[in-house]
Amino acid sequence: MTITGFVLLTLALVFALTKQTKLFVVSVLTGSVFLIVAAVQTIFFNESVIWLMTLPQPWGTAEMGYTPLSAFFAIIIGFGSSMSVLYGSGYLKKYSREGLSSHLFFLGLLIISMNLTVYLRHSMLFFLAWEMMSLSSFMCILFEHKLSETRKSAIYYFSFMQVSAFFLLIGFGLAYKQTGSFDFGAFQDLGYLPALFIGIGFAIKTGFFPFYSWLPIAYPAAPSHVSGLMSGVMMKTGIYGILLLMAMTNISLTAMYVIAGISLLTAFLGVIHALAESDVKKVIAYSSIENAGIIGLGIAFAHIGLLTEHTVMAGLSMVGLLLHSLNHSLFKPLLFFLSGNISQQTHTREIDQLGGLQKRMPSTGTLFLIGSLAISGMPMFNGFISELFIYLGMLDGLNRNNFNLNIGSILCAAGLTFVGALALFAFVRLYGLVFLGEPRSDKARNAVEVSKSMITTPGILAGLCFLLGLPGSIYLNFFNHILQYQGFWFEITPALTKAFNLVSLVFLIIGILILIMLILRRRIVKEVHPTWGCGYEKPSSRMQYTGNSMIHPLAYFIKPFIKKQDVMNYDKALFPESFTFEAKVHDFIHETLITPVKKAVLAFLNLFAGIQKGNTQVYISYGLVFLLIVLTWAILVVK
Amino acid sequence: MIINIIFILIVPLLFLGIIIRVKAIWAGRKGASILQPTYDVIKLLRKSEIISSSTGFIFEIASVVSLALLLGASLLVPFGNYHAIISFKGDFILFTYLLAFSKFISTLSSLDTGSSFEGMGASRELSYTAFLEPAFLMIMASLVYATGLGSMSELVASHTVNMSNTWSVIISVLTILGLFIMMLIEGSRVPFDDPTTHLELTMVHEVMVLDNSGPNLAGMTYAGALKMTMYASLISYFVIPWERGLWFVTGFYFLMMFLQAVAVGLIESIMPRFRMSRNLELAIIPLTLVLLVMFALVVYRFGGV
Repeated sequence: MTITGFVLLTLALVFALTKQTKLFVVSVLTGSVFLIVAAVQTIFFNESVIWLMTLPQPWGTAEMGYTPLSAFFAIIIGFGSSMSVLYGSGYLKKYSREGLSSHLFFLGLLIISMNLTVYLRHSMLFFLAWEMMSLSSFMCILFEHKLSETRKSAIYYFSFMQVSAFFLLIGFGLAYKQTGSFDFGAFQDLGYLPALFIGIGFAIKTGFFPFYSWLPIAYPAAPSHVSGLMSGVMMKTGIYGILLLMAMTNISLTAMYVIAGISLLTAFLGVIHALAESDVKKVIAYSSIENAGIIGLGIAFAHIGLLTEHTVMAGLSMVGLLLHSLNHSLFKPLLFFLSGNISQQTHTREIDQLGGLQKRMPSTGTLFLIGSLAISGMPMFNGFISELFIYLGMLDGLNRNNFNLNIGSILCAAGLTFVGALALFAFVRLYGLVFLGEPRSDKARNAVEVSKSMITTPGILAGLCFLLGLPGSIYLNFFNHILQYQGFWFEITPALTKAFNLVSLVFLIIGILILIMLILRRRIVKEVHPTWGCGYEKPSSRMQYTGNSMIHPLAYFIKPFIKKQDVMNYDKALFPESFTFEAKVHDFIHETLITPVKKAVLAFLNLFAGIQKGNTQVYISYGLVFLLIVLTWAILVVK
Repeated sequence: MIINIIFILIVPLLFLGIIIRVKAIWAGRKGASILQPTYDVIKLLRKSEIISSSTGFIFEIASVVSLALLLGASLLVPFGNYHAIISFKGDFILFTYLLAFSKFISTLSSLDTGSSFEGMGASRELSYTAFLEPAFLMIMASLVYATGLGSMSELVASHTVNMSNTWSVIISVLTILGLFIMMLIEGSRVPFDDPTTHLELTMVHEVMVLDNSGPNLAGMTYAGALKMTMYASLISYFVIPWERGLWFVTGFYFLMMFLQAVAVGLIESIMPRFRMSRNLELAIIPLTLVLLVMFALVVYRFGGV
């Protein structure tokens, strides 16, 4: 099953090289279907085929196959990549066919390598797949390589991924030193140091504080189907890695509290940047960081529950974090795809240039609304159910005689609500300013709806966002096998099932109420007039609230965490004729952490810049000097 | 259950009527009947609507959706001697999020009109939410700390003030104060907002519904009153002595609701509105109060000072 899947995915690479987009899509889709079926079999029927491959010494034997946990992530990857490819085939139509084959090739390679990361259970092979994933995604970002901005962002992303790989490699090396094996199965009770290195490697990929500054730079630069794939799916390999690491390590309660704190900080910083940003794609990218934080909270509380032997807390948090990973892989690509629709039709991503798109692009707008509701965790959409699981996990731990845990739970629950409320603000602002009101520029005024092929894929995702949000109780049993395999099994009490059924009942009642009232409303007589402007007769779109003014009341509170710069250019004459204004949000991590490190590294490397003379004779003499040194060393030491 | 539904439908507008009557009496007027808001809503329901040409389908459905969500949330709130219609472990999370959803939709509807005033209202309303939501959840989480994860009805009912226990009094007073301030903010009353003013620059909620008229406005008015009633009902539960039998408790509950409406009216009469730019700093008060509640509970749990 899996082999057929991988063969079909490899076949896609051939179609990519011959620029046969349709065949490429078909083979990726069928390949993904095979892989998903294999994964589903593993999760529900425990039918997992394990392949063993003997590698040359000292690499040992490599094990390949799905565990229930990796099978779950394989489903996310398979579904997410099919959606991305489907949308991409429509999205790429607008671009010239130049460079298409290499783009498709690397897209295919990215999909294969993502599938391999969850399939391989040998650290070195995993590392190879991981590197292949980083490199191919780097090439995918470079699709519009003629823009210097894209090149810069791609390099930024690339260096982060290399640092991540560096940490992983050291971590795996240390783990080998400790256990004498490269096999994930043999990694038991890893020490503090290897766990830290591997953890940092995965945290960079997922986008945890303080390593998240690449997300808002890389995602907007990539074409929309790739940014959807990267944030919705590739990020999950990081989550998978962290879960894998947790199972291999001796975890301590203190470490889990630290992780909870970091996650909360990640979520908070992500969401306030999402609030302040004025680029549609950047807002969505920052909200990825927020979601990484929420998933991180789930990870922390799941393991706290495990350590304090509180199975319900552990189980509920685990279900919550897995479900949130799944949900995030639905609504995040949805929003990225739709932002691709917006930028393709209006040629801008500035919030303050858009507006009134709901009337001009009704399908895109409605789907975007569903995505915003889902990502803000509003009831009746999937984001709520997974957050509910995480909340219940946190609060279920209360009233036990563990003071730290209790205070931690209360503060984390309140923190999560705070983040949720700010996310709601960020997405009301995003949707409201982009799609509602009057257009703020001609670009938005002249926008028209995209072709059908760019609506169907987001449509499927939005439908799932809605449908998966309704029944809460089925998830309790859905994850049983994974929980059992990972040691998170918990007893599902009737009260718990009842609670989730009642949540669905409330949704049903609300739905019926909405329907009844909408039907009643049809009888109302309506007159259409312009918006009331305090008696002012000539309302213009420039009077509307902008992205900046919208967050003004909160600006006072988030100022310490955000570096915002207003650039104003105007004539110094008495009657200035031209005037430009630009508000820039500077990333706090980028400014305070990355730039100094970059400068230090560059300064260090500059010390050696003198070596490079550009003169062949000099280089030959370097070789001579080197040989002399080696010779002297050999004579003196060997003797 | 039926009694609960009748409560949900009737009490909010009466609550509003009492507030208005109290204000009138304080100002030396005779004032309208306390049924006046009910008459107003019925009158509005029979009128036609004026809709802005900028708006689309969001504006059309917003009032309906947000009202339905609030009605859904009210199913989780206990009214009178009766338990909430629907209650389960952790229902307060759903309650908080339903309230947030209704805000999501109503702020979108105000952005839909493209008016600068309504954008302003939306921005202010959402800024308050950012501080109120965590405060509410933290209150509930703190109560969970003392009794274990339960439903909202159980949580508030098990924390009825016990006069002989100092800590219980401290916790109840702080919680009541926190919830009461939240009620004032959510119900857009003085000193945070003024529902009667027509100076748009100083308004929060009222400025968001500028373009609503007819049944739309009726829905919004009722929704605002319903929100206040839900908070008031939760507050009452901290004071009602439960062991006294059905009639006493029901009577006491109504008395509490009445007193709270009077309190809101009095506050509105004797307090000026806060300066708008400082309002958000004051919206954090519930959050600070909740922190105090949490610490009080912790100390209580560890056997007092």
